Amino acid sequence: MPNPYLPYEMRIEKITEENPENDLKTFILSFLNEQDIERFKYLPGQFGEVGIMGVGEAPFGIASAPCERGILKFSVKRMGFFTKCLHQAEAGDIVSLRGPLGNSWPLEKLKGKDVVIIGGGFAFTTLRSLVRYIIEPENRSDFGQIDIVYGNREPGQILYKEEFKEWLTREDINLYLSIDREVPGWDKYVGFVPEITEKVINPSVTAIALVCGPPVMIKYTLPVLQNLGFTPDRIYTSLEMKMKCGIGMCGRCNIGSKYVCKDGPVFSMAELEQLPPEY
Amino acid sequence: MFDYQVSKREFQNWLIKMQEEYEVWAPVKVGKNYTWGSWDGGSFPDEDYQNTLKPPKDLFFPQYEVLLKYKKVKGKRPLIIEPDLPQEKRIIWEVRPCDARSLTILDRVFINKDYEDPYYSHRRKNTVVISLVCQKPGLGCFCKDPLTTEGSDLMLLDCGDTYLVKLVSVKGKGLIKNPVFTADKPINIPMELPANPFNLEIADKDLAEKLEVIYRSPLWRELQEKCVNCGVCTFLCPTCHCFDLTDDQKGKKVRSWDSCMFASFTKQASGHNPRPTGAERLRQRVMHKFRYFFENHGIFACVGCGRCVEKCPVNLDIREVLQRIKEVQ
Ligand SMILES: Cc1cc2nc3c(=O)[nH]c(=O)nc-3n(C[C@H](O)[C@H](O)[C@H](O)COP(=O)(O)OP(=O)(O)OC[C@H]3O[C@@H](n4cnc5c(N)ncnc54)[C@H](O)[C@@H]3O)c2cc1C
Ligand code: SF4
Ligand code: SF4
Ligand code: FES
Repeated sequence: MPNPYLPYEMRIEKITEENPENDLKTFILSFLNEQDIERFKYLPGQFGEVGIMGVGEAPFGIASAPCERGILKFSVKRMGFFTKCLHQAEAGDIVSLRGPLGNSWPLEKLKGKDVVIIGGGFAFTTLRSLVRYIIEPENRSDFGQIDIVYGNREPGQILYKEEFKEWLTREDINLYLSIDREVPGWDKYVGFVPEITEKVINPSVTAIALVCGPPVMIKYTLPVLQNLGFTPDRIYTSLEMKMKCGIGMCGRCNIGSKYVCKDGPVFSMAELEQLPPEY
Repeated sequence: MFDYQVSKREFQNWLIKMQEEYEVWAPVKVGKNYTWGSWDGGSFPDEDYQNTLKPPKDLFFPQYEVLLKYKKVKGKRPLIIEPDLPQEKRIIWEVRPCDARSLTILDRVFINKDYEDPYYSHRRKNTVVISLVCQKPGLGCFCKDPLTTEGSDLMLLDCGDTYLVKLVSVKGKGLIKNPVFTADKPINIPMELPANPFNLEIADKDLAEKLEVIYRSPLWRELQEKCVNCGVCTFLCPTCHCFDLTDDQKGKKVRSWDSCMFASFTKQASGHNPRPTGAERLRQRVMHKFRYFFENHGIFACVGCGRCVEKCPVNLDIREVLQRIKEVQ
């Protein structure tokens, strides 16, 4: 087996500033070694440990989709030491990457079903990967109707603005963009994610909901989904715990007997109900 | 059943011969304690040898270890250097059976179907474990079976001037393939110890069942009140495997032991901590050993070595903790 600590070497191709505060950036990385492209096989929902040699590593959801060959995309919020250093990096710099790690969104289960995607803030990363995967022409017919509710504090915080503009024009996605409070010039939805969800989502009985966002958003969205008829085995979310190894050995990311890095980060509500509420 | 009876002299000569090929490690007395050190070819375990202060996990999963090195040259792509994987052939002997068994628990963590830690697995592959049966329990011990051969390659029982030797694993048998001991016919000695003085099993099925329902109990808060969160119980534990990964300024990726008893262990960048107080952390330590690990691997992650009992500065005794849990109605 390969050494799980040995990273891939990646070059930063492009950095996009995503918000006016400039604390949220998207990095597009490419593989320095051509043959690594084939070795790095991943699915939407998985994550990687991005590293700067001599500085450290941290886990980030992979925001690109496998069909975007040769590149990987990560959107990173500036939080503490490592993310601050990553924000100081420039195009052309070399970073390291371990992965792909963790499970993925339940693609097999989603096949043939309608998919309701609910995201808030900068946690839309692996959901973007999933949407991008689903709308790829060769995959699109595997999935039913796609509804997306994506909420933000204000329009400036919306990730991947250009791409959302394009998705708004697509026939095969129902996209509901919302912001918390009215601002001049905003002609989409206004209100918190749970309210908007309640208003716009009218799910089929087999539809599956995928939720990812700040803890409060998740907390208030879950009861709404249950009212809309989603059973706990048809609601999925992606969890975040402090991580180091990403391979189930360093012992810090467990919830009960499950390691979020290896058994997760994606869990259904039915699975979470079996675990202690320690996250 | 043991396979051979050999005089200690003969055994010593054999080990000295083995030193040509193997580095031999044994408990070495430093001050009042025993620690793992290179065997001098002479001394045998003293009468007072109960166990080493630190378990042998250090020899497989060192407290501090360089996993990778980087070389950065301005304007050029950095060089990632994977250090040579450990190749030294080693024999460690006089390992207590509980500690030998603890290695089978670490194996489950570091070598599994998804990932293999090459640093650990190389050391494991290249090391022969010779255990020495305990004939009287130590102060804090609560093992179930001092004759367990799990994790041992060879096992010894001290009979005064001689050892009874049991060949346990293929690796162990391989070492003694041309009978080097004069008793060249294996002898059948019934495994009757000086009437098993142990029988100290505390961690049993009842406990596992109790742990299913005790998650929310106020007992955790009460039990941890005197804990000072020093982490000694986890550092000295032969089965605790938590670690941190850091990059040092000189271009090394380092792995070092960490502990679930520390607040920083799970504290996220946002400040949120799923285990904010000592109560959740003690619960995690106990639950991991006696419930979560059991759910994942079918065995407890505690071998009853008693180190955490003897070395806790405030006498937080895990045997008492387990007893209290069992008594919860
Ligand atoms: C599966 C997963 C996916 C994630 N995806 C994203 C993403 O797409 N975009 C994004 O901006 N953030 C994401 N995060 C959170 C991100 O990992 C943390 O914000 C980041 O680790 C903070 O590192 P820091 O060095 O700046 O903070 P510090 O507080 O200085 O952290 C020190 C170290 O602790 C660890 N750590 C601290 N907090 C966390 C945390 N919340 N989660 C995991 N490890 C932590 C890291 O190893 C980090 O380097 C994700 C976390 C997980 C677990
Ligand atoms: S050794 Fe004792 S005081 Fe220290 S962390 Fe463990 S239980 Fe707490
Ligand atoms: S928990 Fe205590 S008794 Fe059990 S193996 Fe660890 S140190 Fe030994
Ligand atoms: S991050 Fe190390 S066990 Fe999950």
